Amino acid sequence: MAVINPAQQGSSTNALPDLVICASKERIKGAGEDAFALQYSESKTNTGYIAVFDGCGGMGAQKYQKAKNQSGARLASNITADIVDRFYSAPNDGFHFDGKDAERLEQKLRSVLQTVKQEIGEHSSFVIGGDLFRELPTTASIIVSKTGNDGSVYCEYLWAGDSRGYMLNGDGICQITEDDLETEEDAYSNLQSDARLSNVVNADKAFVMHEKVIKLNSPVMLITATDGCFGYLRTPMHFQHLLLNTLMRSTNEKAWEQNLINELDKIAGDDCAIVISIYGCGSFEECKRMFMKLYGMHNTKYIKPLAADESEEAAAALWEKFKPAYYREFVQKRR
Amino acid sequence: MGSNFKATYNVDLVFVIDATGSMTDLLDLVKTNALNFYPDLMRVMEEKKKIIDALRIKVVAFRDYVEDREDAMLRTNFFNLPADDQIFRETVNSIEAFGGGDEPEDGLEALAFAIRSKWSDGGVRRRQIIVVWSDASTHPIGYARGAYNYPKTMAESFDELTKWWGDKKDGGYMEDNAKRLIMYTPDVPGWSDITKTWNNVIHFMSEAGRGLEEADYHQIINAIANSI
Repeated sequence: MAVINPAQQGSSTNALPDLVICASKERIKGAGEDAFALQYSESKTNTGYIAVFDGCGGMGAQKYQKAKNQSGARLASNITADIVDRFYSAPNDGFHFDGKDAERLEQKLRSVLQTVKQEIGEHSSFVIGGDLFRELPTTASIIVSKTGNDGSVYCEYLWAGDSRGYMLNGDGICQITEDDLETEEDAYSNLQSDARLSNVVNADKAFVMHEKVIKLNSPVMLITATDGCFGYLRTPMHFQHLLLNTLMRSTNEKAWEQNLINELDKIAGDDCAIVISIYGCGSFEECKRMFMKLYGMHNTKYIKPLAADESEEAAAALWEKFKPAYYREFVQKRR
Repeated sequence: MGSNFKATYNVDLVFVIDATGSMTDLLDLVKTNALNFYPDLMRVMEEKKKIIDALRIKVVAFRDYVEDREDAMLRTNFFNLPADDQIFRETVNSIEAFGGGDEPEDGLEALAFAIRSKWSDGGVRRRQIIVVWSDASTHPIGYARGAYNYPKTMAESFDELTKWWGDKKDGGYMEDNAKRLIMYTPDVPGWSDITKTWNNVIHFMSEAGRGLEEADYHQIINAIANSI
């Protein structure tokens, strides 16, 4: 899907984001299991969305001959991205901020994935069972957003699994979604624990699409990312650093996307996909200017000390310092 | 980017192999798969750019305590690969299919030995993976308790074996986030009970007596590689 700059596509107001950035990387060409989707449209009362999907390779290792021998994981992420995009575009569907979006989307995903499963399923040489197996399993993280008359940004974070939705403003990054994990972990402990997922979109077992609604002040970055983007870093502080460092080293949106891909390629042991939409910054240069101070402070306070002391104790201590801000925008899940 | 950090994995694999007479036609293929496992897994991991810091493989080959007595259970320590490749190959190649008497076999005791392995506690992230190949159902655990060489420290019941599969903090021998059980067996008593009640399991339900085809093997390799 192409990169778009909604602000340059006919919006005379600031109702749409000023910038939208997306970067993705397949570890094995043609076999990637991550996907993304995004769309902003004035015809949808300036409501748009960004989304990423991470097909679960372990759970979805089954190959489907009727689908060009692709794995369930790869099919799931791509099909789910398509379902979400059609859900957004369909005249009778779409995101309405009425407290029912997650439920409606969940029903749509379940019904379409079950149909796909019936179409591509076949008598295999063996049946696969066990709690680690799912038909067409994928995570999903979707941020639906629209601006209010006062310039604030209303966001719906919808998710299943461990792909994440964040916001980043002048006070730093903040994780809004809550990872669906079998064991209780925070963003730092799970970098070591690598806990199993407890809930993913799939075609054969129950799942929940969670929903949180939050009103944010602009300027703000909305970020959605698969675990390949943050799960191979030393600490959650390094994810904020990765975002801002690549931004500061770039001269335009394309360069930022490329820098993100290059950095993720170096660190990630997985496919990765990230989409960022930025409200209230006007231009790319202004966006850099707005986040420059935060970048410098974060570097001084966290990244340099972590580089000087590579011990786990140092990382854990600095995480405890960073954690309250990282979770500062806590809102209850609607479901 | 301010960090030389790499998320590396320590992977321990235990192959639990049915070596009874009914496996005669299948065992060569299972052995070939077991021997190819290390290079194939490393190739897939390299393609995915995932770094395995240390990989160890251990073998448990089982038959039937009542029928086969001292040949009922072959257990090795962990082989560090690739350093111990030669002795690993010799061990796998030495497994022959015989005995077992009539179905069922003592597969659950073999699984119990696998669970009680001395798992690695190093590395940033760990995986404890048990892979079972069998074409037969299992006796209830403890069925052969009267045999002279039946292990004294065996789980008393299926419930206790289930507890052993639990996390260390709950009295088990495994790490919940690290463990994976991959079974290539028929959907028959013993194995199917595990599929119904244990967590972190993938069960490739083979037809009894049917061989592991190339495509099946690659699917299993992918399932393991993707779970790391």
